[in-house]
Amino acid sequence: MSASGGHGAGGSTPAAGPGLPVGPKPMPRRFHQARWDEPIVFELSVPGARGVLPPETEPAVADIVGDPAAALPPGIRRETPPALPELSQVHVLRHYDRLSQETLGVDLNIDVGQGTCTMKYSPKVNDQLVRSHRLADLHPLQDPSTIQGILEIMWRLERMLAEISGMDRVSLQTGAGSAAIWANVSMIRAYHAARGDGALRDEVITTIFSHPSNAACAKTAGYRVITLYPDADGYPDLGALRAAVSERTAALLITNPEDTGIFNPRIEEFVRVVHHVGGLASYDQANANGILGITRARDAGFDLCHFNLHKTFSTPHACGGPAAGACGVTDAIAPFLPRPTVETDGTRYWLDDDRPASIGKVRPWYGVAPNLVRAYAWIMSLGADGLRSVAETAVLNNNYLMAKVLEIRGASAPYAAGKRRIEQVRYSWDELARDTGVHTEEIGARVVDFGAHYWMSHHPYVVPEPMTLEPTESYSREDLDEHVAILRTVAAEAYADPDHVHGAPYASTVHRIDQETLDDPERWAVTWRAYRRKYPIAGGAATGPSAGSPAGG
Amino acid sequence: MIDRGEGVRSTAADVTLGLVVNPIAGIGGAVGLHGSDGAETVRLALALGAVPQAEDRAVAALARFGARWPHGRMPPIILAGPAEMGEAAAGRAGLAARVVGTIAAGRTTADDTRRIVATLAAAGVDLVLFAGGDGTARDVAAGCAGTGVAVLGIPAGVKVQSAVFATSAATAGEVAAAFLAVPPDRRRVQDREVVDLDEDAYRRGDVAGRIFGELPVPADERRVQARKEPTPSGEAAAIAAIAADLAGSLAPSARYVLGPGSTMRALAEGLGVPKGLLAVDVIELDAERRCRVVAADARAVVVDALMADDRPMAIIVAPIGGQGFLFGRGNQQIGAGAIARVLSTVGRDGIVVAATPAKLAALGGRPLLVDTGDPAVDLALAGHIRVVTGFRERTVYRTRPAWEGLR
Amino acid sequence: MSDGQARVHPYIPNSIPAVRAAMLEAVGAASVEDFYADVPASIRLGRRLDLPTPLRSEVELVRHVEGLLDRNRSTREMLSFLGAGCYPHHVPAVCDEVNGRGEFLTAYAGDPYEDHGRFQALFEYESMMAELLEMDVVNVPVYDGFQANATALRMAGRITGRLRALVPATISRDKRSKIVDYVAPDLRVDDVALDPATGLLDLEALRAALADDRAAPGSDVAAVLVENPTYLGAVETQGPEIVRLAHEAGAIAVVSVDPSTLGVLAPPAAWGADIACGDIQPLGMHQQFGGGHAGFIASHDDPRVVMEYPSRLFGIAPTAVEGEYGFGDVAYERTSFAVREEGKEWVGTAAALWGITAGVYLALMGPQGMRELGETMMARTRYAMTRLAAIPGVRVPFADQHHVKEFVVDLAGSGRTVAEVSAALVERGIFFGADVRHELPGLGAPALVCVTEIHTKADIDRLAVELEAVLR
Repeated sequence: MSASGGHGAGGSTPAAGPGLPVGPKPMPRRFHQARWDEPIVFELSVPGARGVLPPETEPAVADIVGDPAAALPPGIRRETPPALPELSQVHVLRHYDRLSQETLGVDLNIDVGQGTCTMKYSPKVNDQLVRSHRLADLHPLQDPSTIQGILEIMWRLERMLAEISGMDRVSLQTGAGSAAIWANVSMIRAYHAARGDGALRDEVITTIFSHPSNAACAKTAGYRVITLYPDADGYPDLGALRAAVSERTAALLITNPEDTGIFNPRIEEFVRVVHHVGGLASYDQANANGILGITRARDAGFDLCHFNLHKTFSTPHACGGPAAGACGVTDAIAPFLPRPTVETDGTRYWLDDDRPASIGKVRPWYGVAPNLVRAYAWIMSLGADGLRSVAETAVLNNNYLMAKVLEIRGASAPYAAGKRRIEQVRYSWDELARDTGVHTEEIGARVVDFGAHYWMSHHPYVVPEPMTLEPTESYSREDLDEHVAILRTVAAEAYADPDHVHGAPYASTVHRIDQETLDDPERWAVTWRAYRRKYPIAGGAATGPSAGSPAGG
Repeated sequence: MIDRGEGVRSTAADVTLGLVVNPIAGIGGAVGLHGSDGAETVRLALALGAVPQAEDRAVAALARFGARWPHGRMPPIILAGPAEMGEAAAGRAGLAARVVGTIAAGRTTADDTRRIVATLAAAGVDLVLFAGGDGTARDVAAGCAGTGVAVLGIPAGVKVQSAVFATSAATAGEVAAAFLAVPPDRRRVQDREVVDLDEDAYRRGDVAGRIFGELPVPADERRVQARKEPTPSGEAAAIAAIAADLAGSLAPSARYVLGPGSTMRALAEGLGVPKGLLAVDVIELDAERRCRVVAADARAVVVDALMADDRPMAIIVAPIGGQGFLFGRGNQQIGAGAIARVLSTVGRDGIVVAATPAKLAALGGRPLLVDTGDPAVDLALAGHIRVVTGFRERTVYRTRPAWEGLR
Repeated sequence: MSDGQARVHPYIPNSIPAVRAAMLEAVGAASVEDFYADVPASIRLGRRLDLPTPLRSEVELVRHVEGLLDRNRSTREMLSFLGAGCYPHHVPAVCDEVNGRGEFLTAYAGDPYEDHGRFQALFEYESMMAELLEMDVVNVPVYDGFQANATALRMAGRITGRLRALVPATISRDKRSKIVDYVAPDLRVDDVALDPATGLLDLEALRAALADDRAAPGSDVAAVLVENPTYLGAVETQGPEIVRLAHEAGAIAVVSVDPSTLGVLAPPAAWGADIACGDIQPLGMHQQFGGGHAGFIASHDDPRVVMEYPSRLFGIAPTAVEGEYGFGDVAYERTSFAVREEGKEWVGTAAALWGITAGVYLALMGPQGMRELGETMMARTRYAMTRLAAIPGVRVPFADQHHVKEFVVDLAGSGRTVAEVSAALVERGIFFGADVRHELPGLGAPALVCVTEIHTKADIDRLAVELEAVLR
């Protein structure tokens, strides 16, 4: 069957008479996001309603200790209960179920639009596994004899990630990718300090198409940051790197392939140039999905690297975390790893907290354990050949998608023009914007109407009118065709009826949001409490924030 | 629930848009005349079969403006130059316009532009939308000097190097509509440079450009969600951060040449000394890092003389215009001699370049350009140069002589 | 496929050989090798990764992973009195139900148009936390409470332009380690001693520390960190006085608070805190071997402070349609105009789903639930203190203080170490309290015992009986 036949939107004519057969579904589909018009939870409050009941103190206990809460000194004791909403249990559930329906998870959409995010399928079986009370209800300070299973999983995951990266040791402690970059920067700082030239080495080098957290973490750690722009061919600029390095260079922090999907063919030379002046090289492997089993951080000479387990290794993105990061290092850097590490003698596993050179803690305890288990299970379900298939399929999907997208009028892929890309592409709608006045953000708002996500780029927009697509291994050819059909439809609308695009979204839960309110200290409201204060109830109806733009109504 | 009851901010009933079209802008380009300044050039262009295009561009911008104007909202009052200087374009776009000023049809001059713009500014228009090129932008800058009125250019000339132009006519219409649709107290502008070449010299092959002022241009900072990254800072914040970094990096007892532009002005302000926006100034720090102006609005000979000194020194400049000129446009007072001296005594570190990330991004990957008039100095600057892009932020960016590839 | 033989994998739709061939043909590539043209041979792995044999069927995978997990013994199987930052509270079923929904579990960074529900749920989380804390601004969660503490201190550094932070000597060794690593190079961290009699902050030491370096330039105190309850479980009844002293010195009062106690404890804002922070794991997250943490930062609606948050702040806003509202990021250009731009930090994927879950928890608990929770915990904790203090060789050193859900016992009188006693109790099916000898070096064998609403009188009695038996 072909759902992708030549039927445009509205192209399927109703059957002449009543009943079957109906025509194939149109492409792109006639989507509408759930729209419950759900009030704020406080508006659902009914005084006296209860959602869940905590246990009551046993009379035998009360007889002995009385009411210690009542004995708290004035000023320390809470006199009035917090003004939380009061709801029956079913109303809490219904409220949140409705909100969940107004949220577009990977489970629901062809999520190739959130480029750089590696939106892949998170297997359900892994979610089921981590609900076991033998993981969910483990306390991190339990006696080692009662946590051998989780420690073994962490040890095995470390060894697998060490093999995948080529590194000697891997810490699983950090909570996400940016935290892992932070930990790596902190280790770099400790490494140079231990060698006595911490004060001298105050510069960190990165590239404009590396993830911006590389620059941000380095700055937060006190480094001066040098960001390199691409060379004339669109590749990371080796000449600029040579001009940038010096005895002040602490490290190179670089993503490869970069967020453009371009692999730096001189990556070894980059590392050599930095090593030559005594700097370290740290590899942001946020974009590792297309190179698993193909090439490794260690093979290019890197000293440190990190993976985002919620990207490459499939743990769910969870509305923006909890996630997990993994920091891989060579033996030379290993003493500085966050403490503790997991160690084993081959039969027993323990946590080694006695690491004097360690940068210390970057997070409570030992990592986001459920995500470590998920990542472990995911790798175990695929093995070496499976991981390579993941990489090759992600790259095939991307180049297939790129060929189709570049057929759309107004779209282009600047930098390294004509070259293949690895796992994602940063496209440009510059031509379309010049032709039609429709900008990438507006295209994004219209794409929403077809049930898909859209993402432009980090700032600054070095690629003008950017759009970043990353089709991981989780999407079929038909899925990719459907996403292309959405983009093609929106681009055609931009040329034929730009105002229609400008008015989008039409099929979302809500319409264009007035952003100005959110920037004005007089009018912004981060909480319902602040909202009620700034917009007091008058005559039974709240006076709302003015839209600022009189465009509404 | 949120509604717009009593909280509605009253918006002025009347929004006024000023419109000026330089009817002969761009006429020379089509016939290879490198610009359209001068009556003789225009006659020559017309004789060569050139068709005026500025009006078409203005119509395209106004059509877009009309389409983007909020539905149901009272349209703005349009004050336009007479006949081919605006009135006709408004009419073709289906917008009613009140005419301002008088002209001799078919024989418009730069002075007409200046007079009409002055009248529009005096009438209190909310925005002056003009169609033309760099020359027109100069005239607009002259016409509204000191008024603070916001200005936006519809690109219609051969040379549109000034940073006051939208990227296309349609974009100009959009930016104008978005700017005027919000209440005056929430409109945001950025000061942008007006750069122009001397066209006679340009046609002879001598490239000589300068900065003719800065105009407040609607800020086209398209607001997008922060998603999963640090929020980008606005242009004003970025300039302040650069100025703070530079101020902290200046050495005691050293002498500095500051190029023109708002970044350099912000630096001077941070150091507590006055600075002309268009001027090249020379400043000096004493042993306690107190700053004083050695030469304000210095000419090339003065700069040369002050750099012939033994003390530590550096030249601090910001790239100028949409093409990213480091030297040779708008700062010719910093001559090849002064640059060569700094290069020989201090080295590359003596040339300090400052640019916001947005400004570099707008170059679209093109290198920064140098055109000092001395090919040897140009070549000495070619390659890569450090650029201060924020507080404790740098890039190493490509540079090349402007003439490379042209000769 | 590299070997052309592998089976189609259920997670990889386009692993079907015919589909791959057709797609390669469609893009004019001979093989996937074409796409890797930029990867030089010198860095190619050139061999198969050395990984365990995969368990490709779901049933094999489940058997294997469950087999490993079965080597753990959970706090459901054991009676656990471990807390120390990771707390055993009851997790209402609706919390797990909501955070297990695929829509929330697999969403990420969409705009308010695709993910309105995610934005609303997080706005509501901020709003309910704001009621608990009586502050108008609460962030979208950061990684954990440690991070929230560290960031709050850096915010204070940026606001004041000062270079020192004072923290209680009794904060956990791990939290201190995180703070010190994170706030360098902006802030120096100095400890303020505890009063050995009360376990609370020594006010004289605080006064001295605030005055200490006033003479030395650049050494003014940016922030004073207060914990309530303290890491050692006592209610910091001097909170108002500490805040007063901090303010007198021009410092910002940062108060780290356990939100599960706020049904009975006054919110820090009520006694003058400028910034509140902490961990929301107690609000509906399982312990998860430490994987359930998420951090909050809260303040008043002062633009000077709001502009220093590195985290996301979701706010409510009208849309183009009359009467409709949506959500978005508040104060989009949150740029510090102060001189110390180097301290801006970053925003990344952190712990949003736990924020949504904490919102569900607070909506379920309501005002009465939070109060009852606090009352029950305080009563049972006091009961446990009374029971354990009666055991020979056991001392409860700060018994005069108010405690909500944790307290210290000192086993020094028994001549045994905490590790020995803990190991013996494991044999009897009990996880005893955390060893806190690093935080309380002045005591012989201190353990931090946690009692929450899940512990019944019978549980506490059992602990007392078994502890006594072990110490006998």
